Amino acid sequence: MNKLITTQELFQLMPYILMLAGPVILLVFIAIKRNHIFSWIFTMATFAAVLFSVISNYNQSSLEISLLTIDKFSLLYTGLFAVVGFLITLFAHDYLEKTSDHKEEFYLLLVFATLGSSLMVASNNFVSLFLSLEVLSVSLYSLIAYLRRQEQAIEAGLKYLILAAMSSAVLLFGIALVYFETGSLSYLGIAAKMDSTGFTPYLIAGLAMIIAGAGFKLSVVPFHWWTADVYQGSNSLVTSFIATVSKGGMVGAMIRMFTIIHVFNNESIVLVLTIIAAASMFIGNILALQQNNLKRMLAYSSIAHLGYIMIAFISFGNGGTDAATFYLMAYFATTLGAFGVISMLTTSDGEAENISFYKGLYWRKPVLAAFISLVMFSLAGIPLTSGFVGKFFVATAGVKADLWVLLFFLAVNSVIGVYYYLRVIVMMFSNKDNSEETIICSKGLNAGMLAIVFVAVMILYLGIYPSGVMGMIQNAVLH
Amino acid sequence: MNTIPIEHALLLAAVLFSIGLIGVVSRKNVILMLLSVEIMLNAAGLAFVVAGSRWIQPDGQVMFIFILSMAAAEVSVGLALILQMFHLNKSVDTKTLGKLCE
Repeated sequence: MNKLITTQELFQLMPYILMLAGPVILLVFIAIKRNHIFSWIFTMATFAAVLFSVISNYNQSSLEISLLTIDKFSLLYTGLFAVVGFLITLFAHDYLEKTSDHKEEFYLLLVFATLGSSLMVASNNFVSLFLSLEVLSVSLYSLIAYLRRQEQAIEAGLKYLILAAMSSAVLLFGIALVYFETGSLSYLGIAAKMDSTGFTPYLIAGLAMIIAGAGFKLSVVPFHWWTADVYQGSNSLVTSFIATVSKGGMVGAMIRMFTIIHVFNNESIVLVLTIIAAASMFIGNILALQQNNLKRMLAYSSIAHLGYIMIAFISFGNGGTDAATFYLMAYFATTLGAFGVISMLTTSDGEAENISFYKGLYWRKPVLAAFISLVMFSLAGIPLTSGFVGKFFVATAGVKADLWVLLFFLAVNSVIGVYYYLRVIVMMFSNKDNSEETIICSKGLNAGMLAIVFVAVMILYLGIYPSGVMGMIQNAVLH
Repeated sequence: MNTIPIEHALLLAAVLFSIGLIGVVSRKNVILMLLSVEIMLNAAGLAFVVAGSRWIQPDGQVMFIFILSMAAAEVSVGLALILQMFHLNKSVDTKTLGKLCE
């Protein structure tokens, strides 16, 4: 542990160093002179460099240092987050021009939040897990309240801040209890101690509190109360970030933690997770049924989707981690698409979030309407889209682990989900009778359009030819 | 000589944690809610110090310093948001919030 860092190790840590250095350099530039276009391009370059260094390190043997493990699994997630960050940045330029008076800091916070999320997946120790979680959270507080002239954004930011800080405290107390019982903060040390002592009451209480703290970030059911308000109040790009990178980071961190610490040997913890998964699916879908606000609808539907991921999670040793990772990728693509379109249709007057706004959209914007239809099909899990294949893998993992009750709930909930997703499509194809508002959208080929094309290709690619990506995931994911 | 059992210190942390939790849930003033969250965080920090002293390791105290600095970062963002909320609403009461609903 006491050796100095070698060049090789420095190279392997490069994705994270780049994500740290990029915003710091940008910060200096902002202090000297503000320039939106420059900040925008610089951020895209940062994400592209991160992606490049992930790819060039991908086949290296894994690096284990005292706080982080850089292996294929963490690099896969880091690369995924970098792609998502890049796409959000593509959408961000036009969106910030429309809505914000301070534009440049958005990019700083975006990269820092991505860094936090990536480090969470690489953490092999509770100390680094906690620190990276806070890097993510503190960046998110300011991102959510970024449009600070809007009361909604401030309200969403405050709600998220208080609840996230509370959940951090719960997580920390859980870690403290686990540490109290085992005398170690690294996953390996805890697992080794657990092998000899088994599940003592302190340990179970600690793990339960850790799951509660993580459940808040994932917005699964008993901890989901913030989701709809924060999704609605924050601007749609930040919402898409919360729905993708923030949740994905926590899923990755949980996968790493639970491959080392075998909590699935304990029946009561499995039972609690099963109840959480079932409740998330039902409550998320039922609440989503009643929404007329697209962002709130997507918020509740994300609760249900996380319930599906939990099924893959509970079938841990049976290819569940592969399924969860694939489902995350599929969900990332669709969510980014949905919120990206909302951000593109947003004007300086307000977000394009009301479902009636989309009435007759097909007759005005056929390409965008077709894209929204594709996204909704994927969210509903219609074949040939990524959402279908994701559900298929989750179901396969569930069958292997004999989770029949949960699989039955999955089937029921997919049917409920189809109803409200198709409602959006029906709305778009209905006649425009009260569409006095015209949609202003910048003409020609803009950056957002590029991102949308990429997302559409990804949805179809993952839906039609999943085996290529799945092979890569199976190669990388921890078992 | 009788020493205080280490569980008592953990119990103290748990009691503090519960006080903080009750505070967050029951208070209507955003500043006091933030204060209650701080109590929860520091209770977790105390639990770390206790655990560290049980194993005679510095890790618990190191973790406490991390918690302190993270709480400071959190509060600075939180106070900025509260300031902005006061600017817009002329109040720090959660009742004046509630723009986000159906």
